[in-house]
Amino acid sequence: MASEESSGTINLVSKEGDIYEVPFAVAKMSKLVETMLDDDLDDENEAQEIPLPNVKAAVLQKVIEYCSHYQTEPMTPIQTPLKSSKVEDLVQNWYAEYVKVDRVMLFELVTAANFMDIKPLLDLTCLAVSVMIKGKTAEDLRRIFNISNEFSPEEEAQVREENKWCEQPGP
Amino acid sequence: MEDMPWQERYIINGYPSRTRKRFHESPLAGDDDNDNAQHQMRQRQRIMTANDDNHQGESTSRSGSEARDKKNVAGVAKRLSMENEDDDDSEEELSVGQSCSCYSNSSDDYSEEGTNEYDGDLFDLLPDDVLGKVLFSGYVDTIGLIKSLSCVSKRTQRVAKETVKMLDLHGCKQITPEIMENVVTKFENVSTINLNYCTQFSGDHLLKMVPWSKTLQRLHLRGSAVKNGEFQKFLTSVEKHIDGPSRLKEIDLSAIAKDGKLRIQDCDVIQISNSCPNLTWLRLGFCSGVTDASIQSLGRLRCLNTLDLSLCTISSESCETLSTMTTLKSLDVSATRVGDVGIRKLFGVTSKSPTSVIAPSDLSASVVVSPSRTNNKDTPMRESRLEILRMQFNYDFSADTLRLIVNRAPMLRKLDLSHCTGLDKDESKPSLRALKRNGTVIVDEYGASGIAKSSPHSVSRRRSNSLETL
Repeated sequence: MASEESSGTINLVSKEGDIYEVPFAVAKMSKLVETMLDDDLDDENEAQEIPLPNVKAAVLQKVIEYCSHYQTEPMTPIQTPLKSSKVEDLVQNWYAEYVKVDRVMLFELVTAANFMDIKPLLDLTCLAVSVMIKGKTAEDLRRIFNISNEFSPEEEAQVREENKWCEQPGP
Repeated sequence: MEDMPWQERYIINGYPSRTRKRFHESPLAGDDDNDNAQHQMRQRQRIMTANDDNHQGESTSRSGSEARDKKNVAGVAKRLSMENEDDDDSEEELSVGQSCSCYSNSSDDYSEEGTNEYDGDLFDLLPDDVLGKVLFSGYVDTIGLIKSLSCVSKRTQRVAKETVKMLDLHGCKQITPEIMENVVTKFENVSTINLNYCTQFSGDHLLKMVPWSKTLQRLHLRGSAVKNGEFQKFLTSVEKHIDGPSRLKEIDLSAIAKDGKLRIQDCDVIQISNSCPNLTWLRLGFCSGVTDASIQSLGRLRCLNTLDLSLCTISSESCETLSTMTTLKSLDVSATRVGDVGIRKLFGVTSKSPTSVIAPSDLSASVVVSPSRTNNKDTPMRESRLEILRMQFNYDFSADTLRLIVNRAPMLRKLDLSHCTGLDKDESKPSLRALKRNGTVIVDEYGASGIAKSSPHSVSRRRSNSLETL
């Protein structure tokens, strides 16, 4: 039914309207794309177009980069409890480098991975965020993620008192 | 702006280095909104001094997240309009809430210099469920979670309350009942809690967990100080709280010291059988207060897969009940008084009459039919579905009974015979060989031997969160 040129690729359309042509196997990593593919059987001669209005072009590029590389080198699954707090110890080098992006991009990747339903990418990006978070106090976290402190001094003191037991030597 | 779906909100947000340059070059447009002007001034300052890790986040007066968002969008939207040559809207007229649908910077390489241009709350980029996934998927340890993560903002507190399902507090000997109560209010949907080796944990602590009755499924209290009758009390409270049987699926009440006799007793076990119909996994190791009297009640648990009764005060009498529990896949009766008779009963032989031996060569991996079953009148036709059997320190265990196991347990993947000193080495050799050929791993005091077969009926793996594995 499909012609030879189009049978191998899918067109993913970013929020801005840019079209990225990706092979079937790569696109299918996204469960969202996969479900949309099955429904649309109208185009026989052209590669199907899947609009992704929530994903910016730059983010989509990164996502496609991940999925493409995954075909050649599948990422080692991330399992809890984590053996190490360093990303390099848990996944291959390429993936460890892949998540070395700035915070905004990382968060946008999380959102894109969630929206497009790509589990390995979501795991990886969540892991990268957790590495950023680990060991930091609430104040550090507010600073890093630019969150304003909504607690009054009394509330803060109360929370600190409640959590005092966490400071004591545990396991 | 607040009505906008969260996706649109983040799409408007500014982007990296290209934006920055142009922003400095173009003057700020005049605003109607005084707030916006101030906000943009702040933005400029922030961008000029920002660097990746030490984002100083001058939290200037922000009146609350809603107002903040408004300002964010206004400021960011303005920035975008300035960067875009093709933009239809003029800088001055761009108002809050208008989405910039026509900016295109797709051809630019994304700069990885790491300057955080977005000056708003980064967590705002994510909706609640994604934030929950990011923060609370279990990558951050529980103490860190409680201490820091959930205290970052009111929003993370709320998301934590709803999302956190697993708490790992093993070894936290400093937890008091009050602390427990506090933890329970902080997290409403906990289904798994690991309190192994919390040697101070008692009935008082337990009762504080009753509010979790609806969601709690896995309760690990190995080595705790829960005394005689206290677990029974806990379970009756749980039942009262949800007006029905408890949802518990996994319970570990093993003791780690000789005073196990003071801990879990028969009354607690009977209560477990009554109140936890969904129980699949139960460990009562070293609970010397558990005797034959309560094992019969365990037969009522129709879903039980895994049962650990090592070092309990049980004898061969219990094995009759155990043999009727067809859902049992893993059983540990190490260091108990079940003896040889008990194991025979376990596999359906109630009398001591010898079963005829099956030559090892007749055994195949898939089919086990033992002619002896039809000969012996007192043996049931049923085969055992046991996959893992541990019977260390069973001094009476004989080669005869081992032969019985070979016939009756086709799905056996692991057999632990450590310290079964009564087992004659020569007599048992053929049976052991047969078992190994069938894929069973034999464990003795020298280690494991045999190649495990991949069993299609393997016991479902629990999430491993530093919880004891079988």
